[in-house]
Amino acid sequence: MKFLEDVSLSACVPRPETRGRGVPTRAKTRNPRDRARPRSTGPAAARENARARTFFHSFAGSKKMRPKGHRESRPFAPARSADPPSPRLARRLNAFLSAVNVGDYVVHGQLEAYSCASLSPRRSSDASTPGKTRRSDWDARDSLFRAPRPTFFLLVAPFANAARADVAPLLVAALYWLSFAHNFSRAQANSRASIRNCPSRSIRRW
Amino acid sequence: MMAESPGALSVSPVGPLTDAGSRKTLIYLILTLNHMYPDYDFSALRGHHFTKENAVPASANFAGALPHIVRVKNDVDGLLLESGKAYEATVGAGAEPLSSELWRAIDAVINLVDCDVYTYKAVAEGDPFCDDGNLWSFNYFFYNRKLKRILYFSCRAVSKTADEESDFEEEFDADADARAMDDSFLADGMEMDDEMY
Repeated sequence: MKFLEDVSLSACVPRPETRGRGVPTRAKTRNPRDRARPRSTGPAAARENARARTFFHSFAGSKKMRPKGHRESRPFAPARSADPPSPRLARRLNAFLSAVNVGDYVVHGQLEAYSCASLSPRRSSDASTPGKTRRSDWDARDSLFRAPRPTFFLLVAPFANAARADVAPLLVAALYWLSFAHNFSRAQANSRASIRNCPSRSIRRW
Repeated sequence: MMAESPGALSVSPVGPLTDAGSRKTLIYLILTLNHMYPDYDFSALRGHHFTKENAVPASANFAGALPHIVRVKNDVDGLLLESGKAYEATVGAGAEPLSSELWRAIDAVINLVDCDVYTYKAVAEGDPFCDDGNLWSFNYFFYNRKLKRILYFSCRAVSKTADEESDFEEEFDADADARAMDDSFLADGMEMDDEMY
């Protein structure tokens, strides 16, 4: 049982080869046992684990890599609090649950605790751990923290009249529905010309 | 799709996704899964792929315990019944039942009274919980907002025969590859012979 020891969830950025929506994808490996390989085998895995451990610290220490307009969302970090009350018991249980031979089947269990707490700025400025932050990691994490943006909610704002405010989302939704290839997310409710011109341009092109 | 979006955002097992806290919860769950299963990518999961164990009254009456926690305990203990017997037979362990030690350890870390419990609904093919030979599985996320901790607890039972079958398939594949290489070599040789004659 790895209880808040050295694991940082910041390293868990989405992999670029995401396929499909709402469906977990896995790397294609020929041998099923390759997929289930232990994390700590091989030098590459060791490097990856080391990177995961230092990931938060590299985040915290390199403000220069922060992209413009980045929201102040704090990364995950391992808790610096005291050890859990019974780490020995926890380790023993986790070791037992990792493979329990029960007659006709084997039970594989996992029990891990993570901390979502963020470090304080004083701690985050601690540059004791080396490492560089990759821009892609920032972007990936930032995209996770970004709010879902239903376009029609945002477009309601320019309308002062409540009755007309109901019309705007319907208009934009209809535009999206009718012409998939165009992006109307920047269409403002008070810019009638731009909204009106988009479909006409597409019709001309077609 | 457009008509569903507002509803999907307002209703979710982790709460309304228009709320930053709910989004964070969802992100924590996804990142936990991504971390636990590094060979799988859960980034495309959405709120409806998770279930929250709601605090509805349970049939059993456990004083001092929340109903949804009791229900989770009962489910887990039922599935780990055989494992508990194996635990009692383990040398150096088994002074207490597995269940009590397990939940004591979990409670010590995450403080179950303040926890929200979520489950990932494994329904997709290519899921770690839907691999061949899986007899049953469960996964629970114990999320304590006060402590800002997540404890992930998962178990899956894998049939031994499935393991043997997969071993056999691997050996068969390896033999087939070897045979294919031999056949290709022979075929090349035969062609050469044909040309020679």
